[in-house]
Amino acid sequence: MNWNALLPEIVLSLGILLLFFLELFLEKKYFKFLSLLGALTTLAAFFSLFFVEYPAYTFFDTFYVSQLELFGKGMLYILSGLSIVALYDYFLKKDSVYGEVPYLILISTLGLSLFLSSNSFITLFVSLELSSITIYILAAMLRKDYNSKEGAFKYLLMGSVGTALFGMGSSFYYGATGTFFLNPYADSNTIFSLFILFFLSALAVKISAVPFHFWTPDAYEGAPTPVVGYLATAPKFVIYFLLVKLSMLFSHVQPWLILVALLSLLSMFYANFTAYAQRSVKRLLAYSSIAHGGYFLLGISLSDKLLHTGLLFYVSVYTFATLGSFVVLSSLEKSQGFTHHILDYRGLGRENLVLGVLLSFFLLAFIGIPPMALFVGKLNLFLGLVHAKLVLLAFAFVVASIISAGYYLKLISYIFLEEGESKYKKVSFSAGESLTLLVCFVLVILFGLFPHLLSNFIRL
Amino acid sequence: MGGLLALAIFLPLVASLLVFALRNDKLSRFISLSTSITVFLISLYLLLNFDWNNPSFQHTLKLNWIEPLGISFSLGLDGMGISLFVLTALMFVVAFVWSVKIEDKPNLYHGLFLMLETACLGVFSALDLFLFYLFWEAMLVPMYFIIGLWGHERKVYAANKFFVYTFFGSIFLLLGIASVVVYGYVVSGQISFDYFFLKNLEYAFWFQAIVFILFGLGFAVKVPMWPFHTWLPDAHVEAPTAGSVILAAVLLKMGTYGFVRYSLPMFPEASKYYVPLIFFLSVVAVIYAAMMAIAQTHIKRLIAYSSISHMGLVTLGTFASDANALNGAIYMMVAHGLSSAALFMSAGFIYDRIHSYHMDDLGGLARYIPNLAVVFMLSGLVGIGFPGLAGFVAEFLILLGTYKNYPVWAFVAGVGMVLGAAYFLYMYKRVMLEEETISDYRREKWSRLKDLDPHHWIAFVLIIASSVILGVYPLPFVKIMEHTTKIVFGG
Repeated sequence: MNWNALLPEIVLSLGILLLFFLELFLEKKYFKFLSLLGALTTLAAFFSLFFVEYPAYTFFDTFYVSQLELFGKGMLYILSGLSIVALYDYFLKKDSVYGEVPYLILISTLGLSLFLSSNSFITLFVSLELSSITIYILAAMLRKDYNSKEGAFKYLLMGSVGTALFGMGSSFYYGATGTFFLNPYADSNTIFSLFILFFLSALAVKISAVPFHFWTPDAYEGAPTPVVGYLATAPKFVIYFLLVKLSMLFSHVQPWLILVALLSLLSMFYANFTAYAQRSVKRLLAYSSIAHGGYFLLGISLSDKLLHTGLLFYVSVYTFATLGSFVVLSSLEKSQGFTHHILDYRGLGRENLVLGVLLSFFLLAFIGIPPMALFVGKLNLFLGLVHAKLVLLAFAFVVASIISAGYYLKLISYIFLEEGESKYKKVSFSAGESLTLLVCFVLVILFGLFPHLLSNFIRL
Repeated sequence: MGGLLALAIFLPLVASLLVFALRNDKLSRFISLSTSITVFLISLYLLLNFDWNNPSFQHTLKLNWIEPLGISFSLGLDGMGISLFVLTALMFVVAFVWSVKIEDKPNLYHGLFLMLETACLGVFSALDLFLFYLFWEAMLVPMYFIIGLWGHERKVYAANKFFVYTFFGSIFLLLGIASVVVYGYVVSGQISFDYFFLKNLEYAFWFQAIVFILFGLGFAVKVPMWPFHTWLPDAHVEAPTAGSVILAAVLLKMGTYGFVRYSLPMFPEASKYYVPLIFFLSVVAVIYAAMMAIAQTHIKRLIAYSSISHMGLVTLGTFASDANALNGAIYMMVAHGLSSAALFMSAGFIYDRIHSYHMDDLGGLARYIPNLAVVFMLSGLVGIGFPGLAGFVAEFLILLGTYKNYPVWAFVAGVGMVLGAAYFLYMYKRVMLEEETISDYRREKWSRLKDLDPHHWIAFVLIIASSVILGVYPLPFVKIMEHTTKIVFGG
């Protein structure tokens, strides 16, 4: 056994156990301490990455690390650390402290971390479920809140469908190849095509691509907002790594391109149009993330190195903008009676200047305005698509992003331009929230102006 | 010199951060005014140190930036670049002088304008397509807030429309840039966003034909060419006066600048191939917009339509594949920048005094505010191409050049220019003259009006003096334009 390859996961597990025991004995007032400890765990895991020797196999070759996996893990730990550090003030102010939240997020992170390194469908399945089940619990965390329960239940139902499809797909893969390991496949037959159909559907549930997206708006709306920041970024981010690997191995097989293009086009256009009808900003952001899922899917339509690096860059910087925008939302929600209805955002820029500016900043980043990093992501994806000769898909992407600009702008104009006083007083934000917002803001600008600082790590 | 150019571009950005940080109304006025004057002086210095006999880009600066993507921080100016650079710097001085008295959130106002100045100056001097696009898009956000925060009744609508339209064009432009870069990558195995590298590639005709449209959409929305023009009247009507000045004098030029800098030299065959289409759209713009202008009763909307009409002439001259016409087109960019800015300032002045843009609410003003009547007339005459003023040289060169290859189109465009005189004189009559038709109540109200203040004078004199110089002694300026024309046509 090569334990060194598992070092970050071991650090995470130890941290989880520690938090689990402390949570049993500590009172509610130590919640802040527990969250900080959770964030420290991810930090420790992050630093342990530097001691991992790669490339390496372990666990009977089902576990694999290379530079790409390490990059993914590093991003993952940063994301979960930032979301854990930002969440305590929300639960304290809402007076509904659940000490489980930090270590549940860590367990989910552990699952995703294993998922990144998994080299076989069995470990993929187990690690993904480890993460998913904890996220179902997290979504239902506000037990007294009806919406939270409803959202979580929908998420559970749809997620279970995803799990079933996942298992189904894996068994077809076994049927076609006689192994559970991820290997290149040159042949093309019905069973293998069925594997692609089922397996892509399963992953589509997880990244909420249309028509498997129905859980997303409800889960986002119901779940505690700081948790949404986590579940909208980390799990999806990790799935794209698997999708890129699959695309390198199997994208030449028949229905791949058609299925991916279909999922992607449906997601982009359906979500961008539906977003206009939303009155709740959380739902609006949910549809925005579905639409972005559509853009990202374009990046795996063919096996093309330029396309894949572009995609991974785009997804990475997108997660920071998304996390940042949900942290802004959760800070705002701390004022009494704030419902995330779009009218609640009227005059926000005058009352809460910093939060208003930050939210608008992230929204402009979603539109793809330079110098925000998402613009470079968009450009990279264009480069990749043109290089792969998928010009029509690039056109669809262009049209969809034009459509999307309108609803982001609507929100920005509510924040700054519309007349009328804000109903809500200025909210204070905690040290943790400020840290997360600052990091997200700085990284989105920094990677926009110097994208090579990030893209140098993406070695396919 | 390249360092000085970079300094001129980024000084306003630094100043804007300073303004946001200090949050002091008085200081923000001082900072913005002094910054813009410094930038203007630097731009004049760059102009005087320009070597006209050297047929290449000057004041260049090239720094490594994003090496894996072949992106460098590359700046430089040619004749067209420097003339628009100086124009931009001048217009921001004018805009800041004009708005010294602004009361509503002066900090934010000045900060946004300074950010806008950096973006505009950057567009005219970037020699790397990534950098160019960065500045091109960065200009959207400050302008959006300028229209949306200091505009008139329908400001939110106008700001959103402006943003979405421009974004519509520029995202196609981004796809175009990506295509060109990938073409270069496939041909030479090297990713580069460098302007010269991409310009010297030989693009296949089918590729030119597609990418010309992608670039063209981006530029056409900004110009704006018919039928992408509908954002412009709304944006102008709702924007504050200084916003309109910058919008008309600088932002619209970015589109035609893009055509001359990128479309013409990079896609020469496609530029020829699409001549009928572009001429059709240009002539429609010239005539249709002039007719629309005649039908307006809102003076800002009228001036906005006149801008569309004039920009139609610029695109006509740009694609006439003739050196004179191209010289004229670049001359027109500058001349129209001056005239439309002065016209919008006149309209803004009237609004400040009378609180209306509608001709029905005006009339007979010439007797009561005679100084405005004079500068208003002069700025209009620049626009309609009165001999001795800048617009005349431009229109003459464009028609001369176009007539050589496309006499019919030149004739039709000439008719459009006559309409130009018609709508301006009609507006002047309804606003300034017709004294006998106004009521006694108005006569009484008008008699209390105050004429131009000193800061208005400064702004007007800067502009009108420039247009007179450009009109009376055009030779050195035509030389400036020829610098670019030679680069485009070779020889």
